[in-house]
Amino acid sequence: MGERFQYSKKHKTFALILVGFGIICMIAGLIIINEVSVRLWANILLNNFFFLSLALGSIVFIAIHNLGFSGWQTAFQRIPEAMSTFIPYAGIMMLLFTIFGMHDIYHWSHTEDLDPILQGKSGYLNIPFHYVRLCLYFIIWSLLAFYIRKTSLKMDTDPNPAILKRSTTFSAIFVVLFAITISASSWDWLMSIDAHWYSTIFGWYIFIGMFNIALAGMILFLIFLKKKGYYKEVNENHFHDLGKYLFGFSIFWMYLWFSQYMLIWYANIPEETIYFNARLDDFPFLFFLNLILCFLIPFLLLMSTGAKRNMTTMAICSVVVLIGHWIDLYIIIMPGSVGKAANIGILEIGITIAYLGLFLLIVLRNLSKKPLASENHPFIKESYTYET
Amino acid sequence: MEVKKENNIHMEESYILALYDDEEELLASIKVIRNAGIKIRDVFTPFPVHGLDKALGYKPSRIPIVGFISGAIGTITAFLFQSWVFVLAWPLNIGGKPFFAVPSFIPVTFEITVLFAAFGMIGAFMYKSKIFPGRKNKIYHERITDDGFVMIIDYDKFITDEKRKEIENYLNDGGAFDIDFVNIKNIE
Repeated sequence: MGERFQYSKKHKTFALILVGFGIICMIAGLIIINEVSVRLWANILLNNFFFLSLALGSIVFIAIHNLGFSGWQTAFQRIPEAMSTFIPYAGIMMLLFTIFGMHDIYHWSHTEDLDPILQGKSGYLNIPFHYVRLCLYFIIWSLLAFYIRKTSLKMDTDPNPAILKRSTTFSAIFVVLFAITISASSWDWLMSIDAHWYSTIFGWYIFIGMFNIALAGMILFLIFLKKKGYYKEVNENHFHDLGKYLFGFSIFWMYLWFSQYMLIWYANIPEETIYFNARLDDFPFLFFLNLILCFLIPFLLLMSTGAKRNMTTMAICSVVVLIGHWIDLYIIIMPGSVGKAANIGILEIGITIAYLGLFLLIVLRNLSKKPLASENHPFIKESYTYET
Repeated sequence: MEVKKENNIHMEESYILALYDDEEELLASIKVIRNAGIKIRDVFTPFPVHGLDKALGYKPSRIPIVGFISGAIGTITAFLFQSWVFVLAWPLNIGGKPFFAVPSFIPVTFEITVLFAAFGMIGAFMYKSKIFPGRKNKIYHERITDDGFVMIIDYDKFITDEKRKEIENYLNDGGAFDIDFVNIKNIE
């Protein structure tokens, strides 16, 4: 059996302190602003989606590599696998949020006073169907993530290489269903905040953001574990490829962002431009900071080979990308729900820290339960001797 | 000029060619031979082999730097040119947009950046490796043009038999299935 991550008391206490500190900050924030509902629920939606992205993006990462019979990632594949175990928890939180906070965030859910446009959309945007879809998404994601992880864990005890084939089957099913569910879920949870507005590229845009978040999270976990002395076989060649991913998908994110922006800018139809109008007028600083953090900094920092092979620059870039995409989600959610009053205060930071603590608590525990690499994986040797 | 040409035709270069049929064997063999202090002139493979540059001890390519600089020139050129055209030279009212409409410049700027970077890199590569239309190639071995992994070592005619045997042994141990000694007329 391979080496395992030692989940010590220190890690657990640290994560618990994060959760406790975050909740205290949250309560303090609530007392200060003295207004419970909208801002709290908007932040829970934001952070829930952000940390769901970390979990869901990692299972996408595994699925596409399984499908491509790729070998280089097998040395550290247990990290995204462990990250994906957060999906059911995010599902429970999302369900709680929908039950208690739905009417504060989604104005289409006030069924008694719908305008003609929203009446036209009520075939899709209605409360029962919203719940059905929400449950469906999380059942699909949790089950397939569980089975993909389970087949991978099975290799520890059973050296039969045919298990990989099973994993590929699950991955294929997951990729197809994910393509549909991610678009639909981003409409449901994020785009329907501005219920009158729509954008056909929105699902893609959210998905690429999600994948970027997961990559950055994966890189940070890998660097953390490498600094602790685990993963001796993972070297700068693996980081080089992860860096290429982060670099490439940052550009792709910008491409989709701009595709959405330019068409709306060019067509100049009021019902579409209202989206960017609200964001540029009320949040000009965050609006441009988002582009700098999500695109410009990773683009310029990760361009050279040396930077991708260096753990420090990769860690800096990952943190920058994570902050950038948090702001991206903030820019998507806040103007439509909280409006002009939204700003980043103690409440926002508190909830984020609490979520981070919860995420670390779950992921590190699940990571420590199993060996850090599956020694029986058919491609593990390829990964250890990998050269870019 | 005539004299020089004649000289060139008579100048011959000798090489040892070692043929392999597996890239892993080739890589291992390169390491052994370089450790023994024998200089490898070149290696030909039918597809890119990962780690070959490092095994041969090549310095990192400077092509990316050329790419970045020519790309940056492309960005600036395209942006300035469009600004000049649409603001100063021929302002047109298109859909009521301002003349200096940055979002509409970006796709063209992006394309010109890619074009300049690509042309810059290809140009620099062709210049450095002296590739140009009408150039006559040295064909060291027929298999180079097909599926052969061929390692080329400079062969000095005055080399001692011992040294020659040593090189041959290294190559045979490394898995070379054929070793040739060839003379190629230097056409250039």
